[in-house]
Amino acid sequence: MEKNKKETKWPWEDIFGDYSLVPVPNHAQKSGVSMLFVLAGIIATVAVLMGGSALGTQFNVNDAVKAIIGGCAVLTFIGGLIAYIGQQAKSTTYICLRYSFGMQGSQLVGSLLGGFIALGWFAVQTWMFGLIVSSIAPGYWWSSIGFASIWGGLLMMTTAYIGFKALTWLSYLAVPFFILLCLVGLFIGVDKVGGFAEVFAMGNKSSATLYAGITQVIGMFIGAAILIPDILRFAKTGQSAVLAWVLNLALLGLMLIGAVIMTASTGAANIAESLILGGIGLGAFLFVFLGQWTTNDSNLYITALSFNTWIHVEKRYLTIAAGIVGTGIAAYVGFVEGSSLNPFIQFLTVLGTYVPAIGGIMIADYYLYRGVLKEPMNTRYNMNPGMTFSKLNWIGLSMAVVGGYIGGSLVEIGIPAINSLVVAGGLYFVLSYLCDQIKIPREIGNHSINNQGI
Amino acid sequence: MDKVKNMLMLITVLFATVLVLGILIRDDNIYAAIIYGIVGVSAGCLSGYSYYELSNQTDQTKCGKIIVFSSWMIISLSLAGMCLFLSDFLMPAESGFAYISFSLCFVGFIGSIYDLIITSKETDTPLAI
Repeated sequence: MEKNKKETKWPWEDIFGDYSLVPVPNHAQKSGVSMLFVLAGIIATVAVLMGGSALGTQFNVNDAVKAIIGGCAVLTFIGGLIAYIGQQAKSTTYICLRYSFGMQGSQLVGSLLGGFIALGWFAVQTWMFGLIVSSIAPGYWWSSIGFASIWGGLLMMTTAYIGFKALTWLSYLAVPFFILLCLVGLFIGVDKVGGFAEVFAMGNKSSATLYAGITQVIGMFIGAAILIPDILRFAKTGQSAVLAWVLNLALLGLMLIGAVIMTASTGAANIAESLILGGIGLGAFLFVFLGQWTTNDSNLYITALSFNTWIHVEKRYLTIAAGIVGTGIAAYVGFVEGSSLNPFIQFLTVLGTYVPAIGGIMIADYYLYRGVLKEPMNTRYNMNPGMTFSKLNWIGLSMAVVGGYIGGSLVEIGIPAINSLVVAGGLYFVLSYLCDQIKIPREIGNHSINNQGI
Repeated sequence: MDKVKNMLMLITVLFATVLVLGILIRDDNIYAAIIYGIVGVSAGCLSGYSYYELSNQTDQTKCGKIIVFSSWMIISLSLAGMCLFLSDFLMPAESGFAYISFSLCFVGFIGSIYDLIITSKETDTPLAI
């Protein structure tokens, strides 16, 4: 009854599409299963398996499993906190950032770190798609890195263009397929060494510490953990959002373990190669194709959502523009002989150290700062038309930079992503509390939002 | 929805057959048997459950959601089956089993697309539940 009452009184107008600037209404919320599949679609990518393979080259299987469990446990905790915020706010990450960064601060931070990083990864993944297609089907014009990047990028744009429902369709189609083919890739590896017992008995000494392994696992997925409200805002309840995240991390852990075992047994760094060894050519192709597609359309979707906070046009046009730019970068690199996006990947990785800092500030603002102010948990990020946000929260903005720098670059002990998150969140909370106590304004200017969320 | 119901029954039988074929080849190729088993049990249970719900459920909306979700899963599993069953790694000594399984998956794939479209239209269920 209460839900229906809220539904009829939904006070917003969604003029840009896909609720990019306004809270998701009750009638547009999706089931927990739907949430789980869309999240699983994001991790069902060859890049994750390559990450697992990288672990497999540094650790024996037993140590790698410990590192994966440790890393996934940390990610579960951080992502779970943020998933709950996103579901309660029913808004994107960039709208949630308005509370701790101010209106213009959230536009700046969201676009720089959500938009450009996600767009950068879209270009990288599209280029990687071209690379893998050219290695699976060499010698054809359509499978050259440049051409494969173009048609791959355009296809990935289509689902992001349609919006969240298309991400769901594709994830339904791709996730069971992907998991089954991963399993077969694993079997091929296990068969090569003679059985599972032999795989675990392979006692080669790990060349890196367990701690380094946990760091790698966290680094692989911390960005997604911070940006997860973009997806989980559609969840019906906070519990279903958190549960979807937890189950997703369990799946991630299993996929990484599978990749480690495969690498340990075959030495292949790419599961598609393993599948081709088993004579599964079409399967390998679809595996790469669907895997990259489900992940990369989410990158583009996130890019469009973040840019929509300050470029006020329909989200689908932003998706096309961003898709063309990303595909163009991938194709250019693909066509230029001998060029690579690896330097760009390093740049994105460095920039990515600031994402956890932003997550830390969001967590500190929602759970700690507003907890001290005794705001009820379920209304802390409850946005309404006419609500006033500051234009800029100088503490949020400066602590994101300071936390990201100290935690990610200056401190040499600990896990960089966690350091950034804790330092930025801790400083934000302490400074905000102190400023309130000694009456120093922590916010600059005011902006009242209309019923379109602008 | 009678046509959907009949199709669900057919798909359940098809994937039960895949499961039986998996059992038959277990001594020959254990990896193939496991994959046949996973595809057969998962798709068979999903279609069987959808059939059961459609037979007993009066709530069309709930029924529509169950069939739409099951159909998506069966489409994905059938596609995987079609890609895998004829591969060298999963080919049993009696290759006829592989061709039969491939054909069953193909029919399951087409049938589930039919179920998905018809159910979505007739029950007004969105394709993304």
